[in-house]
Amino acid sequence: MMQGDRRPDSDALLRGLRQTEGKSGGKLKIFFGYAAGVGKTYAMLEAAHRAKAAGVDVVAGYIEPHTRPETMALLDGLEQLPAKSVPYKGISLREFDLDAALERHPQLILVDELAHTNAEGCRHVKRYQDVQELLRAGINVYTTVNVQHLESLNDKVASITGIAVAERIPDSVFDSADQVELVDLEPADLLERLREGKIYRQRQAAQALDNFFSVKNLASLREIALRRTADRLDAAPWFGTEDKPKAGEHILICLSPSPSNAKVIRTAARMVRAFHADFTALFVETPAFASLSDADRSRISANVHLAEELGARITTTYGDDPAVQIAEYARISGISKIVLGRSPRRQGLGAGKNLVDRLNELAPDLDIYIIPDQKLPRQRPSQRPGRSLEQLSAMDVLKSLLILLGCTLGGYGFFFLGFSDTNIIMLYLLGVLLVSMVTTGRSYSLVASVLAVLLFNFFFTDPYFTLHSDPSYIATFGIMFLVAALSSSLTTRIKRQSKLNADKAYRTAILLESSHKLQNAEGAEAILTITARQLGHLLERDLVVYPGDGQGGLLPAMCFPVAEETDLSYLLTPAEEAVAEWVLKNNKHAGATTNTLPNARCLYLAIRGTGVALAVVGIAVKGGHSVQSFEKNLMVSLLDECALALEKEHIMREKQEAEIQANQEALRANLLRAISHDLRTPLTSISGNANILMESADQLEPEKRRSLSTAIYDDAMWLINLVENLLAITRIEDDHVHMNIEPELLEDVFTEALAHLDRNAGKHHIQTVLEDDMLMADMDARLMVQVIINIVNNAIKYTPDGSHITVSARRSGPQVIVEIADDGPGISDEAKKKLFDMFYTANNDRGDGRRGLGLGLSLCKSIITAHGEKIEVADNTPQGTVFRFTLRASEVMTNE
Amino acid sequence: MNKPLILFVEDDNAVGNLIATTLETQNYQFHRAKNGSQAVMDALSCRPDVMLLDLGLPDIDGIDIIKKIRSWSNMPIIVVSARSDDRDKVAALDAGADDYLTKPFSVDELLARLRVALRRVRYDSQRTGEEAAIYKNGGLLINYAAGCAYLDGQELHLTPMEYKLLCLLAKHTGKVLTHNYIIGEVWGTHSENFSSELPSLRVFMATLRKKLEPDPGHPRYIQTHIGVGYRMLQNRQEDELPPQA
Repeated sequence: MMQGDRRPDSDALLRGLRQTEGKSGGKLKIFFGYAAGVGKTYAMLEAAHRAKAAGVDVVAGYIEPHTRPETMALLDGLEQLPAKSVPYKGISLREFDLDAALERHPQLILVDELAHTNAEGCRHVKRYQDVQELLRAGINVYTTVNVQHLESLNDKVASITGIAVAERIPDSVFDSADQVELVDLEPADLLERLREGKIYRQRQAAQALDNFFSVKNLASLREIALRRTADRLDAAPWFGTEDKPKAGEHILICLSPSPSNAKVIRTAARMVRAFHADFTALFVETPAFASLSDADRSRISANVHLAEELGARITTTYGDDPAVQIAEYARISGISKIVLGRSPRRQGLGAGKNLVDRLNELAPDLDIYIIPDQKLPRQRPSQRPGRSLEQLSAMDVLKSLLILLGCTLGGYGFFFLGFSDTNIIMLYLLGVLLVSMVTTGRSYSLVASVLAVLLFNFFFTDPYFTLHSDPSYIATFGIMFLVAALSSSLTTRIKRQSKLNADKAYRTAILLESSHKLQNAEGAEAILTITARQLGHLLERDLVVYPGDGQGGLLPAMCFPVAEETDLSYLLTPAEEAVAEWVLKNNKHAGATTNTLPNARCLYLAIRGTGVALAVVGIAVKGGHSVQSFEKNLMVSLLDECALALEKEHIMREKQEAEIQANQEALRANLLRAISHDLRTPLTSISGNANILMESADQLEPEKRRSLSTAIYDDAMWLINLVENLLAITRIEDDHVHMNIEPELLEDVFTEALAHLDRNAGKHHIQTVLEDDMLMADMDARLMVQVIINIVNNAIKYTPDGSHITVSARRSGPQVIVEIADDGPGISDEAKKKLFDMFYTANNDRGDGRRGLGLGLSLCKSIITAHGEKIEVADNTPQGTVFRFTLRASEVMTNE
Repeated sequence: MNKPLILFVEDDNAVGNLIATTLETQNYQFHRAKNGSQAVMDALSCRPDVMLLDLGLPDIDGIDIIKKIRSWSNMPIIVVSARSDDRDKVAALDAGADDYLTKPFSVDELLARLRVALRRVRYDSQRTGEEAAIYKNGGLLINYAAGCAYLDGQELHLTPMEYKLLCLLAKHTGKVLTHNYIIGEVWGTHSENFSSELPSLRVFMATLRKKLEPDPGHPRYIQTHIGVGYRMLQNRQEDELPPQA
């Protein structure tokens, strides 16, 4: 229920993220002024010239063109980035060219007017987001901003100047800047400048003088700016650090669709800064939420957004009574102060007090701050349109009428049987209760209560069939109505409660089920599939999932349409993929309904591991409906679960890989030992024999010389064969990458293999038998040649001279069976089992180990296994051995 | 006949000496270059008949040397390299090398390849000026004008595809043609269809060879280089003098 509380780590993560944004990337310097014309841009350009003189690579990214001529003159000598022109309603707007800036990648870039709102079609909605991206890319940025553009001061400035500024930046951007330079000027001087036309052109100047630039206004603005800069000095060193000295304050605000809520949020944010407090925004989702109008919904999401930007943690709870929920949450999370807007009186039965009074009762030790609601003279937002808009369903009306009809008929029964009125009244009460049980919504039971009284009056009180009756019945009617209304109201409330509980249970169930499923999932793909399915259940929207490839790129998308077989290719355009890629790279949400790349068709969310995005989920947004905040909460939990599972998976895979690697290391060590041991023997023979030939060739008989040369040659050939086998081993161990599987003619392979046999092959009778000359199979030809060479050489080695060796291949269904048979002494069953083990050599006892390193057959097995096929050894009839392996036959269609 | 001049490029001394000794015993004239730039210079100045080229040279990669030399000369280039991967072979052959020999090689093998290359040179020089309408190679005769091929006087019954392949190989006698090259020439397609045409190529080559070679184990005309390609061998003409001892 308290979802915000359960994930403190994601919060810390976010803080860490902000920290890295500010620190490890480029540095941000803000030239801060209290009004236009104080000389921010001028100061910035001067600073840029100084930096340039110091040898820094400076580029003027974007300078507002309306700046004064003196300022523009300062642009001389600075490299300028051409502005991007964005077509907008027939005219073209000049915008800062972010991509060109990233491409150019200077050490320092100047970007004027941080609070600017970009034209439609730019990547980000706001320029400060462009700047953040530059910082992330490691580029230092100089920028300018005026005090009225700060989000938390916005309303304060507006109240002084009477102008609400639409272009605003979150305070966090300002606070996380590495340097803020206040550009100050006496208000009188500023006014002087303005009159001289240095700031605006003449016509605009007059206008500006009237509206904005009065000495009084300017002095107030200046004070705010100075104070804000001083506040920042206070706050900046602590910003984002985990161990900031907490004053122990934790400020809570409640989110509501009320238009004055934004003011509450801003005020609270200022308090948070003043107290160095924690900041939580609570949204209590009441049953009425479901029936809120679209305007209210969008206001809520705007408020949620604002609170987020001002650094609040958003939490949602579910319940009937906001006061109870708020008090409960405050108690659990250690809230010290709560900031509320002045709320209208609550209406309805049993709730005569307003929220503030109730909170007072429920949480007496809480400081409550009430923000006046000056803007709205009693303009009640359609807070409970549910009641009036409740849809009448014909079915429910019919049910209610039937029940009341039943009651009336039953009442007639009682009446004729002479039962007293009381029975009939009880019957009607029962009827009203029944109505409240079988219908949805309170109105039916209320109407039913009234109807019940009227019916009773009409049919069963003297005079009958009129609505006139004995005045003594009035008390009866009154009590009857009250009982009916109260009991029906109770029933409805219980029903609603149980529905709320069911909703809660549903959400908990989804989370539980997801985490259960995720625990059992194997492989990143399975994890993402499960997450997407669960999200799909929850949101009932089309989903696209891009798994990350672990190196900062995306793998092809997986689609999860709500309805099976829906074609989601419209969500897979290069433009959409680019958004997903941006999300992965920047580890931030983007796409539709956000401020970054809002033209996308999907809302893209990053699945965040520690510090990096592991995958990206795209949620199709149709008709601009954003995801509800409560769904969002659950969604984020789900994505967190997914990220955890992905990381776990990743760690497990790494562990497995490490194990495999360790095994391979061990194998390699064994191999090296065996090789270096076995290399010595032939090398000794080669060097020794060569030495004799060098020293005393003349004294040796020609025959002796020839035999020495032969020995050298044989041993060298043996070494060559060994090298070939070792090469083949490395080729296979490199995880099939080097396997080059193609259909090959077996005849070619046989011919090639038999051409590379031992010199001793001449003493054996070797023949090939191919039932079909055109027999083809899929294989890596060079490895397969090695297999045949090894097996045939083995046969040559272990059979007496003059034995017959037959290499044959035949087709058997989809397979080709290759056999190498000899009629030698055969192999014992015990030896057959170990034959394919590495370093196994037959006749080890003979001490003639060097002729068999025991690599050949084990390599054959590895090669055949790598082809996905099998090798076996069997007895030949009447005697000898058969090595038999399979290959996949390939069909070749030749069309001439 | 003049002694043929062989330029060999080898930076390793031991292998260099081995090749030098081998060539000496066979009575070839030779010149040795130890690095890539010298090799290119020598190829220009000495005008060798055949070049033996190591790929792993200290200064220039062998493949680049092949490309450079191919820009002005058609002399046979035999690559002698320790790079044994098929892809390296194909790369060298596609760059214009005629043949590829992997280290460690046997001396006999080296000499055999050299003879094949020299035979091609000699054949090329004889043929200049001669009418190219007829191709003769040992018992094999192709009459391009008539579109017929004969083996030892008997007409060969070839399918159009086999004939095409035979002509292609004949045109490049002595040179190893990679699968890729052959498919590109015969099917007119490039690497995108490469894998789908490769099996067909193998089958056609197998049937063609069956019609040409009496003993597939010891081919006279068409050599298979597994994983790489095919080559038409130059056979001695009946009327030709035996090569120098």
